[in-house]
Amino acid sequence: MPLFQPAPPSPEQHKPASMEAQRSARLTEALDRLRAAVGNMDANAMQEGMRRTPAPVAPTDHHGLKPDSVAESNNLMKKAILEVNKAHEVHGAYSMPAEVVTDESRTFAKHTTQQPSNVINLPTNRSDINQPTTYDDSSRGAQTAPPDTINNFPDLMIAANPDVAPTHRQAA
Amino acid sequence: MGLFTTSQLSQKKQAVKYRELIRKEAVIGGKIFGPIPKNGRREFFCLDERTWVWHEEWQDSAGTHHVLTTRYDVRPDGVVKTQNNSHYTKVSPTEAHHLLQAATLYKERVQSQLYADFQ
Repeated sequence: MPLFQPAPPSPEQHKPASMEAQRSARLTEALDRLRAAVGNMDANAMQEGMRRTPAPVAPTDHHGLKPDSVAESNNLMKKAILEVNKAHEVHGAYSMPAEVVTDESRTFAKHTTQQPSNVINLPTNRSDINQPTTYDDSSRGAQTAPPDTINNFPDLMIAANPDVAPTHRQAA
Repeated sequence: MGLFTTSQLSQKKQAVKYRELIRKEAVIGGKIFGPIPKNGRREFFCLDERTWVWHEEWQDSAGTHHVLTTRYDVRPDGVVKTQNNSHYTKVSPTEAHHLLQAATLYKERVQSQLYADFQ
């Protein structure tokens, strides 16, 4: 008789996982999926928030213009006005005081100043934002359950969703 | 000769046991949201790996009975819900976090009260 014999397989080793163990494992997976989905939601929301926040820009005056651009615009406009006035004086026409037109030049500059290229203007009438998501769920039968029989819950939910019934899972 | 084969009978028995487990879980889950109002009923449970269900029944001040079943479908990029089998809507981040908290608590209680010997 051999000194060492392999132990006979215990009945536990061949026993399929109990329904309780299966259910316990399913719960773990469900929670992991939910945690991952919520994490992805947070990540997407953060990305969306960053996309909507414009990049910091240099300080501007009350017209929304950078000091440099105002000065440059004013100087250019003043120069142009002085040239025009000089021409008008030569021809005897009315001369416009340069200082008064300075504000006009600022307004003009304000309207023509372009936005930084890194600012994205999202259209305000996006129809796909915050709209209910709909999809065809008929294959799962969820839409076919009559509301007045929902009291047979949760049996009804299982009956209405044959793809989640245990027998179906085992067959799959 | 019986109407069902041994395999069919076994599957039927398993299905019954599965539902029984969900029913027990739903009772445990219904208690994690605080006291249930008088004449009310609340169940919260995990239907499968991607579906969580919250069922609530209550009576308003006029004595009218209300039933609201909210089903949460978990998808890779987020969570959607349907109430009383109406259309699906996206769940807000706040609601999703509440759901995650409830589901975490649910799993802890169900594991300790029902499946402590099966882990």
